[in-house]
Parts: sequence; structure tokens; C-alpha cells
Amino acid sequence: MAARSVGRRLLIVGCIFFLAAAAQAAEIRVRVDDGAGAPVADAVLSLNRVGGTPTTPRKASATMDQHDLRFAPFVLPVQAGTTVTFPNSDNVRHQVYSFSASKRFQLSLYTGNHASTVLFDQPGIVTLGCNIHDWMVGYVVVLDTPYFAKTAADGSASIANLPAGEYVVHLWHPRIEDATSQVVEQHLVVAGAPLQRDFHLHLRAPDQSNMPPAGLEMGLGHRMRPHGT
Amino acid sequence: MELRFRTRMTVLLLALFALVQMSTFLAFYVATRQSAVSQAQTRLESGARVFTSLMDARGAQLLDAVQLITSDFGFRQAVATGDTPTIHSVLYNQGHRIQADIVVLSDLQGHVVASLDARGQPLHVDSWTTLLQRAEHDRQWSTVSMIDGRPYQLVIVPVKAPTDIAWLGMGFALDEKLARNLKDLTRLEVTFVARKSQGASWLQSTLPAMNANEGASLLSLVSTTSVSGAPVLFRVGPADYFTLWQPLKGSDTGQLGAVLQFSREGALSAYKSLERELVLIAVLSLIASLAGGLWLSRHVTRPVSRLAVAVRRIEQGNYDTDVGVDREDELGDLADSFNRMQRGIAQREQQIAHQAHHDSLTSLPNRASLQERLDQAIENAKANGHTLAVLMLDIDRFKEINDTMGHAIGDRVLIEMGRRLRESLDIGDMLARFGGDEFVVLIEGRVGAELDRAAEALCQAATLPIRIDAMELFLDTSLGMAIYPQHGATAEELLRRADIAMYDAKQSHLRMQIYQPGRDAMHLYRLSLVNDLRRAIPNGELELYYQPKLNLLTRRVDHVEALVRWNHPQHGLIPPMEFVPLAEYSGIIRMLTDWVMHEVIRQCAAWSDQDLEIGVALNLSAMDLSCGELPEVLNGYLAKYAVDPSRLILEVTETAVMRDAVYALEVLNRLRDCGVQLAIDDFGTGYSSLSHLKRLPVNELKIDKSFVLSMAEDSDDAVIVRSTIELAHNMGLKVVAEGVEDTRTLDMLHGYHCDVAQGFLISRPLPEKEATRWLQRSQNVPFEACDWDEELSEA
Ligand SMILES: [Cu+2]
Repeated sequence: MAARSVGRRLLIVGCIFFLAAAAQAAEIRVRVDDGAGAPVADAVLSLNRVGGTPTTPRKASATMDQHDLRFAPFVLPVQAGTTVTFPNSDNVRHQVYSFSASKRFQLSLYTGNHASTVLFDQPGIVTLGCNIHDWMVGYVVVLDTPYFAKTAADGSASIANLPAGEYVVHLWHPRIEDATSQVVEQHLVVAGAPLQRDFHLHLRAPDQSNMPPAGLEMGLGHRMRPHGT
Repeated sequence: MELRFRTRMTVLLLALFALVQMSTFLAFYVATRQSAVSQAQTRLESGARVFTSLMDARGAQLLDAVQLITSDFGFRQAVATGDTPTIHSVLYNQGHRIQADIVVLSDLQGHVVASLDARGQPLHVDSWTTLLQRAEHDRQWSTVSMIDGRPYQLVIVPVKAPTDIAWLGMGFALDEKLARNLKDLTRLEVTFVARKSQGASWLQSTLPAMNANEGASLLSLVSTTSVSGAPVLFRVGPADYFTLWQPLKGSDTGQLGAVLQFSREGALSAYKSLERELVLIAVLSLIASLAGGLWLSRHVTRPVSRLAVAVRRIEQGNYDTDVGVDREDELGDLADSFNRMQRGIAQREQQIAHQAHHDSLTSLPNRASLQERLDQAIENAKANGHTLAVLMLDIDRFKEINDTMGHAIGDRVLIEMGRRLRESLDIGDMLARFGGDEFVVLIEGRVGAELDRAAEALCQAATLPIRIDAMELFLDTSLGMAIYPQHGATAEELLRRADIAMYDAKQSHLRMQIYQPGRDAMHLYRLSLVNDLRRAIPNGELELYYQPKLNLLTRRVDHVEALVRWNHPQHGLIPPMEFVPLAEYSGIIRMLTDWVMHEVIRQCAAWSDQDLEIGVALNLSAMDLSCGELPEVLNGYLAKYAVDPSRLILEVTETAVMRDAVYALEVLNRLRDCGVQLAIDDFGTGYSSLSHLKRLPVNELKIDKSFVLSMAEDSDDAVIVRSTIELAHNMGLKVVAEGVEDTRTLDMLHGYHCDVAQGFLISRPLPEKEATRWLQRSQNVPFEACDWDEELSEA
């Protein structure tokens, strides 16, 4: 019985390899922890095809909301060329800015639906701050690949429909050691079979000054919600 | 050397005072020093607090400044975009505003983007990366650190947009300006010190000047000891400092700190003037106490010195000056006592001097003062060619007055005599009591008739009867005179020759005699006789003669009187009258009497052998009666020769009995108890009365021959003889009459019933052999005056 099941599995793997080589797409699943077993959320996984023709930026759009005096989401990965909308879900004013080299801008976001949009056409990490609320930090990770995902709270992320080929795997996180994205796997060969990877990221300690004041969050949040809806 | 009392007292007072002053000052000194130390400590501690809070304030100022900068959006934008001019302008602006000495901006990797000094000039910063490592950890770091060898108080914060994009540091230098500033605030000397593991290496100080050695030692002090806590004393240049080490907050393990110092002078300066005042007060009061001590010691010691001077004066015999201490206290009392003592001494000395020179009984000058005066007078006379006369006077038989009437009367006689003699003399003449009843008069400068008149006046005064109580005494005196220079050249010679003259006067029954040249040879002769007398008995020069005594009743001779004769080898026969007084005078009389007694008793025995039962009378002198052994000696001889005691008659003179009446009476009684007969010799010559004789155990009375010799011619004497015989008979006494030299007298005596007659009429004293023969012949023949003598001699 045991011999049979082993034989079957080998058969399945062989099939996936074959399929990948032969067929069009596959899925990759990753789990990211901090090396001590704790799941790392908000890590951005991106895969760049080796030797592949650079994909033309898609005309895509995304949203970076201000909610409860925070950027939401905290980390927003986008493919270069994406237009990000900055709505304001709080009933206070925000003044969002970025001094990042890939995209510098300033937005005055008044209460109400005066949403502004910003086109992120250069790949890079864009750190978002609010001139009014110093603790507010958000990231727009502008990538030059369509294959990316962001880890959930359990540290898992997946990318489906990966065309077969060879990829360089990058991981990035706001608290990553040297602030730039890390290559976690240089030669990832995607055939037809789904891939499973576990990655470890060594992170800096969270900067307390980038945490919103506890009382303020609570007070504002509760009070503003009835107005907001 | 012994210090004088006064000096010692002053010194003691001063020393005591100085001691008190010194201990006060010492207490003050210690207290102020202690207070200065604790004050210094307080100052240092409060200085340290001021220093710390100042540093805190400056830290806060820095923090404010950097926060102001980092919260500025424009600045953040400038940093984020690398807008260097903007960055510079902001840093300069804010740095200048708070006068920061250093402003540094670096990227996250520590690469310095901009660095400015206080003047906005670029500043090279080397060690920034090292500092950032600490800053990254603390995120907002206040520190005191060395940057390029200089110390800074620094605040380093991140520049956020919104995450860290750069580091901004701003700081103040710990320089001399700050030190001075701190000094102004705390009034402490401030030295910034950076310590390294190999000793402190850097200093910034407000101290006036520190040489290399002092600097090094301060550094080593700081590096080796934990000076924090209690301040220690540290010397810089001429001054001492209380020193406290104050590490700076935020410096790496206390490597940077401040040495706070408070000068000892400063701490003591508050007390300095007080100390000066105290010293001044001490000096002034010391001077005052010196003066007071001197005054006090003088006040006490001056009278004492005066007393000492007075004592020395008294020692030298000067009693005239009183001690001049006029005070009301004990010293005054002492001085008064001193004066009294001095007067007392003077008085007593005078008394003693008086006694030394005067006779206590008569108050006349004594022999010693006479001697003195006489010597002086001779000196004067010799010098001036004057003469002077020495007159010696005594009372005849004064001894008898003393013996019979007692010394009290004798003394009164002498006093009266002295007084009289004195009155009869000129003031310039000297009268001295020479001893006993002898008076000596010294008359200077008078010669011839003048001198004679003076001597005559003296004699007359002396012979006036003296009345004592109810009695009148008629005294005879003898006066001898010697004249300088003819009779002698020395006091001794003059006195001796006056004495000889007086003796001669007495012998010749003259009241006055001037010294006859050569008379002192006689005197010397008498002295030589005394010596010869001592040898007379052993040499057999003495011989007894016997004078028969006629019993008037029986007309026979049954008694003889033994009379001693001295056959001197050179001078021949010497009568008893001459040598007995010498024997009495020289004490030989005892020996003489002993010899006579022995000879008489032996003779009695010898006569008994020849059938001559003759009684023998012998003479005792006054001195014999004072010898208690006489009866025993007598008994011994009587027993030896077996002689009937009743054959022996012992004759004593009235005066001999009177001399020491009580003892003499006792001896007489004991003699009578021996069985011998006792007779009173020479009756009528003394002062005793018959009634006085009644008490004496005598058997016989011998009437003195002076009465008997003249009774045939002098009826007065005959009456005396007759009444004496009658009275004696009434008292039961036999009467012997001496000096019977003629038959008429014998007849008269017979008529008066006199018992015994003795005298040349019966026989002269005969030597032993003749006497024996005479007695043998006379036994058979009764006495008939007319022919008896012849008869006997024929036979
Ligand atoms: Cu905001």
C-alpha cells in the first residue's frame, strides 16, 4: 500500500512538471515568518520573469484609504502604471505626502469624497506620510511585474496563473533590514505544477513613533463612524 | 635661677589668661573650620544641583530646538529631497537661535550631510557613526560626549518622513564660556574633565591658573578616586579648594564630568574678619591682664618686699625704722605685727644688753662692763697723760650678815650700799658691783686731795648705819685703792692691787688703804702658802701644840686645847691665824681637820697609856660642819684607839654654826650622839645671841679672849664676861675663858664662877713631849698662880 502511494505521488509530480512545461500556468503559495515561527503580515511577494519580455504597464487602479487615522491598507502593492485613489474615510483632514524618489506628491485630503488619484508609473517603494498626523505611515509598493501578492495576517500569500518559466522571487516588508526588497529565490522555475515555499524575513523592531496614539484612535474611531456612514 | 615671686605671679596670671584666650580662640578656630567645611560641602552640593539642573535645562533647550527642526515639514522635505542649501539654512537658523555649538545632520548610515559650528562654519565630525549606534538604540538621545576631542552636550534625534530618513544632532560645547557661566551661577570653580581609561585627559577650568603638575594631580585625583560624595581638599597654587566630582548625566559611564571647587579662603573669608577681631580682642585683653597682673603683683609683693627689707634691717640690728605698709588687709596686719615684733626685739635686746652689763640685784654695772670701761679709761689716760684711780670696797664679814640674817637681808644691804655709794660719787665716776660684797669705783682725772676727798666721801657713805625694817646695822667696810699709772698699767693689775690694798686695810683695821708697792708680793706669798699647805701633812710639817686648860673648881688641869702649828721649811713657824683661813679658802681644811682629829685621838690613847686621862679640845671649821661624814670618821678613830669619846671636845665658832644652820645643827647632833663634848668658840665676836645657842647641843661656851684680855681694866667687858657666864650657867653650859694672862683676871673669873680658864697665865701651848711632861708634873700639884709656872718648870 505504501509502495503504491509513493509511486502515485511521483507520478503526480512528474505530471505537474510535464504539465508546466507543456501547459500555460501554475500557482505559487508562500508562507512568510520572522524566523522564529511568527507569521509576517504585509510582506509583499513579487516574481520577476527571467528573460521574459517586460510586460507593459497595465492600466489598473487601486485604492489607498485613510481610515481611523491610518492608511488602509498599510501596504499596497501595485504594478507600475497603476492609478491609486486616495479617498478619506475619516472626518478629519489628512495631508498625504511622499518624498520617495519613485513618486513624490502631496495631497490635501479634505473630509468627504474629494478623492484624489495618483499615478504610480515608476517601480519603487513609496512611503506615505501625513503632514497632519505624524504617526501615519503607509506604503505603496510599485512593482514592475504583474505577479505579486501580499501576505495575510497568517503570513500566507499566493499567486495563481503563473506562466511557466523562470522567475526571481522578491520579498519586501516595511521593517525589512535594508529597506529594499530582498531576493529570496533567484531561480524559481514555474512549470504547470503549483509551488509551495516557506520564507523567513528578519525584521526590525516596529517603530513606536509610527503607531497612532492609542486613545486617539479609539476616540476618533468610535465617534466618527456614525458620521462616516 | 629662682624667679621672684612677683614675676612668677605675673607670669602665672598671664599664662592662665593666655590659656583661656587660646582655648577660646582654638574652639573658635576649630568651630569655624568645621563650619567652613560643612559650608563648603553645602555650597558644593547645592552647586552640584544647580549645575545638574542647568545642564538639564540646556538639554531640554536642545531637545526643543531639534524637535522644532524635525517637525518642520519643509525641513523634512529638504532632507528627503537632499535640498542641501535649505538644510543648511534651517540648521544654521535654529542652531544660531539657541547658540548651539554643534549641529549635525547625517543619513541613516551615518554619513554626515551637514555639520555646523556656532558660527555656521562647516565642522568636521569624525566620530558620528559611533554616536549614532547609541542614538539608534535610544532614538532620542541626550548625551555628553566627546566629539573630535572636545566635550559636547548633545541631543540626537531621527528625522522622520514619516519613517527615519536622517539623524539630526545638536549640542552645546562644554567650554570655558560654560564653565564661567556656571561659576557665575554657583560661585564655584568649575573644571570640566574627561576621563579615559588611561587617566583623565582633558580639562577646561575656571581656576585662575593651574600649572602642569597641579593639572596632572587634579586629573589623577579625578581618575583614581570617586570624588563624588564628601568633598576633599585640593591645593591649586597658593590656595586650597574643597573639591567635588560631579559626573555628567548621559556621559558614557561617567567619563565626563565637572570638578566643582570651593576655595577654602572663600569658606573662611566670612570668619576672617571675626577671627581678626577676636585676635585683636585677645591681644588687648592680654595687655590689659598684663597690666592688671603687674599692678596686682606689685600691690601684693611691694609690701612683702618692704617686709623683706625690714627683716634684713632687723637682722643687722637696726630697729628704728617701722615697716611702711599702710594697709587695712592681712599684709597691713602683718606689717603692724612686724613693727611690734621689732620694738619687742629692740626692748629685749636692750634688756639683755643691760643684763649683760649690769648686775641684776643692784642694777649697777657688772664686772664685765667695769672691765670694758676700765680698759677704755686706761687707753684714754695713756693717750692724755691722765691718771685714774681704782677703788675696791667690801663689807667686812658680810658673809656673817648673810648667814645670820638671811640672804634677803643681805641683798637689801647690798642694794642700799650700792645706792649710797653711787650717791656719794660724781656722775662721771663709775661704780660697779664687782662680785659678792665687793664694789669697785673708777675715778678718772682726779689726783691728790681731790681723789682723797672722793675716797673719804665713799668711806663715810659706806659706814653710815643701814636701817632695815626695825634693825639698824653698823657695817665696817674696807677700801683699797690703786692708781694708774704708778700702781699698774693694766686693768687686771690695777684691780688686783686695789684688792691687795683692800685686804691690807682689812688686816690693819683701817677703813682705807692705798696700795703699797711690793704688797702684791705678799699676796703671791699667800698663794704659794696654799700650795705648800697641800704638801705639809704628807711631809710631816704640821705639829700639834697643846695648851692646858685649868679647871677653876678643882684647880687642876684635866683638859688641853690642841692647836696646830705649821713648821714651814723656808718660812719657819706659821701661826694658824695665817694658814687656817688659807686652808678654809682652798678646801685643804678637811684634810687638816682629819689629821688633827686622828692626831688628837692617838694622843689621848697615848696619854691614857701614861695614866693621863686628859680631855682634849680641838677646833672645827665652818666647812667641817658642812661635811656629813665627820661623825663616822670621828667614830672610826675613837674606836681605833679605844678612846672615851667624852674626853673629846669639839670647838666650833658661832659663825660656823650660823652659816648653814640647819645642816650644821644636824651634824652637831650626830657628833653629840658620838658621845663627844661640843663647845662654842670665840663667843661674843659674832652676831649670835645666847638664846640662839639654846637650840644647839653644846656643852661649853668659850668666851673670846678679846673680852677676857681687857676685863681686868674694862668694866664693860667684865660685865659682859660675867653676865655671859651667868647666862651660860643658867642654860647648863660650862664656860671657858680664853686669854687669861694675869692672876687678877683669873681671880675675877673664879669670882664669877667661870668653869675653866685658859691662857698664858696657866701655860702657853706646848709641843707634845713638853705637854706630856707638863701634864704629868701638874697632876700632883694644884694650881697656884703665883708660883705654879715656876714650880712646874722646875719640876
Ligand atoms: Cu492625516
